[in-house]
Amino acid sequence: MDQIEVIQVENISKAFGPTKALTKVSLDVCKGEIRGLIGENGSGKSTLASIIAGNLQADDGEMFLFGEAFSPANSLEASKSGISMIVQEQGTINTISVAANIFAGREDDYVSWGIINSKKINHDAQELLNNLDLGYIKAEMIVSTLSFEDRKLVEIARAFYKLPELFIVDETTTALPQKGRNILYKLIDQLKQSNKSVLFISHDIEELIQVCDNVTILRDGQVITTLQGNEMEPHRMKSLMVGREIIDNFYRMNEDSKPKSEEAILSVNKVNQGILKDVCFDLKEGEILGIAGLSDCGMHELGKIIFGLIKPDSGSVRVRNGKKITNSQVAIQEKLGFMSKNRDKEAILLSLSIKENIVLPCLDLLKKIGFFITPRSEKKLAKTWCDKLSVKMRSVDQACSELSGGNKQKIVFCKWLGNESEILILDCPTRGIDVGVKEAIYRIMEELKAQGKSIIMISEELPEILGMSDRIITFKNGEVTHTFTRSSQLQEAEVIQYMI
Amino acid sequence: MEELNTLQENEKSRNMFKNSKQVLKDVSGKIIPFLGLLVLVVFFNTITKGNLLSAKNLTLIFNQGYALFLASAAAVFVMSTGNLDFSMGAIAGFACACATLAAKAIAPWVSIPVAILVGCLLGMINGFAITVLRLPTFIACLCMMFILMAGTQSLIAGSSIMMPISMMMWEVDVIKIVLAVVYFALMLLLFNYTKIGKQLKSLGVSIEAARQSGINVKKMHFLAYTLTGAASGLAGFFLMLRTGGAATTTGQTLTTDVIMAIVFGGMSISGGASSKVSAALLGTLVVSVLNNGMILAGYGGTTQQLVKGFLFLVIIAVSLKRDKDTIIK
Repeated sequence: MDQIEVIQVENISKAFGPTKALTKVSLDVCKGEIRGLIGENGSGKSTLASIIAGNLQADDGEMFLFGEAFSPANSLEASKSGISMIVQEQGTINTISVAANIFAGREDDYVSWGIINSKKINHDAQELLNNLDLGYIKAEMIVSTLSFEDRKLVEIARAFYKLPELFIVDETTTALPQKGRNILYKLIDQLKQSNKSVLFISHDIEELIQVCDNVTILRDGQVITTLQGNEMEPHRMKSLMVGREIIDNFYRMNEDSKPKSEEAILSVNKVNQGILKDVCFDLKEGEILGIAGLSDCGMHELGKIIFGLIKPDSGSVRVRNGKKITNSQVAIQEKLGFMSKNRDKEAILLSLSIKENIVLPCLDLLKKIGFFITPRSEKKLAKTWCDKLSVKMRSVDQACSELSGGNKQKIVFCKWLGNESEILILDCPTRGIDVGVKEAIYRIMEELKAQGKSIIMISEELPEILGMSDRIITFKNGEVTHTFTRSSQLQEAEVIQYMI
Repeated sequence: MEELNTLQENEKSRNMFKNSKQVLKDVSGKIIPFLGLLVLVVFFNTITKGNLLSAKNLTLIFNQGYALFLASAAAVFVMSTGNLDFSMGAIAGFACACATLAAKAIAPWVSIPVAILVGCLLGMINGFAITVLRLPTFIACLCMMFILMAGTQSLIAGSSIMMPISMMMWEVDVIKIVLAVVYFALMLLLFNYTKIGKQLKSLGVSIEAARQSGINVKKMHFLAYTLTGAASGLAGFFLMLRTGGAATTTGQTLTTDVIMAIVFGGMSISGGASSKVSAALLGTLVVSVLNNGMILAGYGGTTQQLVKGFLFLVIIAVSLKRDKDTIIK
């Protein structure tokens, strides 16, 4: 390994509203180096990666690429300079072909007389796929026909069209089963052979030790240290990652996993729909039930089925009194509430005011003489709940589009609490939320549990599943694979094996 | 803790900045329609040498814009969902023809329930096509329009039919004013103080988010189209009173005038947050003054169309831009 730095990051800081994601972070990656990056959720790993890849701009600090000042305005600029990144979330366009995805934004090379030469695109794409040992994916296939895993691999192929100088892998492996992972490891090895560099972000300590040369540890947006080669050892890495007061009570402290009563307040009976097969489970009163799985395992659809938004092919969802949930109106009458994973498009009406959003599912409660709804009662309801959950706002008439992610999420809670919901289905409740607010969300959940309300938490983040749930149900390819009970002994690795 | 306080301070000052910008935006959204009306009134009053605001002409504007007002106030409900009802004019024309025939054949008073019921029924058919048959709203209403135009023509057989002469006595300004006030109050009540308006408005922002808040999407769409249908029928009745009968051209310009009125009144054509019943009142005034002023000023039919088309384009461009600002996707 020669000592030429590919990228030098100097004193980078970045804040999202009141939360500091990164504070004076410095990091150098040398040619041919595979650098790991690890830290708790919200420690700033992805933020740092996004800044290097041009998806975010730093508030302060400098970067140098091969010794020259480097400040990409967007990801396209970064990728032209040889930096490409693949992310955890899905980044393919599903309605077009594999080849079109791989060459999206680079079609100019294939245009003759104003017409795109799709034959040549397909040919080149296939060649690229073959070179990457992905020959079983055909260039002409429409992406939506591929599995989630293969889509991820298409993304990787896209990143390898031109061998990147620096390849950033942002927690991609959690979405990939072993086969896909192996392909990725092999590609990373290829890059190393060609003296290119990799920045590898993962939750999985064992994986990092296996793949990386060195590992940098982030905590609370600061670089704690970089461990070289054989200094990397699981126990040491863990204690460096954790080791601060807030961690101890970030999630729920108590180990008590007893629900308020053993009685099922909601039961899912043999639900079949799409990928979901014979899903059965009960939700007990006053319990937090965690549902864990990969993002395409069907658990997000399950959330919608429970709330009556998707009609199952067979099976049913019933509440305690035996009533079947057939649509969202029935669900709301039976005091269910649903927090969509897609907050800005489905859970919140962005251009409407805070008040209008909160009141919407509660209108029946506000009716006087059978139909009349006074502005005063609307305002009172909205204000009561916003105050209780300390939403940061000017007034309840403020448009929701102006709120931060965490505050929007609080509005969703207000909406359902305003309707006196007894059962809350939370689909990725802390998705895209700053660390500080995450904690607030966990405190709200704890408080609701204490009040005897029941929660189903669907999440792709294992630490919060482990930290918050009384019981955990794991899903794999649409089927329930295991049920865990709350325990401080429970390890992520143990749960993961039932998911992949 | 101290750090948190300063952060909150920062947030506060940023919010204050946002606040002033927001106020400006709110005010501009509310003032522009008034300003537009004022400019129109001053302009036409000047070039017609004060004729526009003469007592006689004001009564004329009131009577000419009456049906438009009734139709627009109901159209707010459909338009707040981000949809348009293109069949309103055709429904008004058809209901007008039915009412005239009923008045002649049975008794004058029958024309009132006939007009409203025919409109209501046609609106329900629109709603059925859209919610049960799942036709795109635009197509459903357009088809309804073509079918009704043919229907009106075959009902009338010729170019026009007359209502019974005795009904001329029915057009009394005082009654019409009282009715307009009651009607407006009813629409305000429905839109601002009941579930109906709030739910329709949320549909205009995002259908999926509305569904997840427990709104029966189909039922609400059905209701909205039934309402515009019934209101179009009522408008048809007043068009009959105004013109003394029904003609194949009755209601022809109503649809476009309604859409124009609502947008001129300060509501976004895509519905949602800016939806309000007052837009119908204000917009009707603008369109009526425009129609009347251009006739007074002696503009030919072609020029009138041209001016309206151009103004419509401008106002859509302006209002869409303002919307993009508020919806951050």
